[in-house]
Amino acid sequence: MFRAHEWPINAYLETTRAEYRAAGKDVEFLPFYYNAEFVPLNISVTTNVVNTCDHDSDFIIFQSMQTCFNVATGAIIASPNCLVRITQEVGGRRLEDRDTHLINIFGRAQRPFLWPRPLRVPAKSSWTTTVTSLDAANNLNLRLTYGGVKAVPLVMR
Amino acid sequence: MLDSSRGKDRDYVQHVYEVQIAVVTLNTDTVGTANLDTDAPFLWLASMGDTQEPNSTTGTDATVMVRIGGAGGRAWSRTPVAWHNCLSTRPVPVMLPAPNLVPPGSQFHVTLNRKTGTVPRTLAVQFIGLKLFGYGG
Repeated sequence: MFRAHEWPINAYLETTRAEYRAAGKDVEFLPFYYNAEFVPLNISVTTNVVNTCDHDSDFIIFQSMQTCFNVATGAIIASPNCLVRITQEVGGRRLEDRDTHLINIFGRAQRPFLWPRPLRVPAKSSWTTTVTSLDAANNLNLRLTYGGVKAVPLVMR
Repeated sequence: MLDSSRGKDRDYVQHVYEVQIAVVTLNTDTVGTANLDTDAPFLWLASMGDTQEPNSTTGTDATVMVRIGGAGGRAWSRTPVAWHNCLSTRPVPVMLPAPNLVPPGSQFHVTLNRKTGTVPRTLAVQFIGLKLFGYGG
């Protein structure tokens, strides 16, 4: 019914925990979401949203999701015509060589886009999501979500 | 079974907690809660949502915030999450990024904000997981 590669969460968690242990740290995982909301995203406009990681723990991104509605009609838009760019830290490392079509790297809750490798965002640091609307007719309400875990530090026993 | 053979009284059973929220007004926070049983901790693994939308192409324009332990409890996100980004409809549930252990006697506190669509309507959020008997509580 389900294929094993559709449920890579255990592998993500094990990989992440191993990386922390290699650095001499022990962590507890707490599922968490960060959102980047473009409400609204007007016709042919480019907009940034900066997410800042909470100070209490790192955030490990596993997956990304999108939901988009037509502002005027309230109808859902399954495949919003947008480009997206993700940048670690302001002016820092980019995750694509050029702006990528949104639906190629953002899924939906039922089938989220699973990142090839978990991305660790250190506590207090940030990432920027830049979206460009290519829709020439509709203003959009676009909500993006980054799913993953907070890595809450534990005191080493 | 292994625990049983060791004489330990442990068991884990699939369990679903559901929060039903009657949305009457658009763009207004509406709260629903589900109190967890006190007999066992709950390992929250997956979620689903039921909107009773007559037409699946309409979509559900709403945001959801879940807190564990009540209104001031531990939030599952920094800001409320779009419905379709965190909940699904049958048959495939949304698996959480990591299992979430919820203490016995705690509470799922759900805040729903419907942006557009038909009201009044009752929306339901299901929390699917395991009751861990014999693991405390």
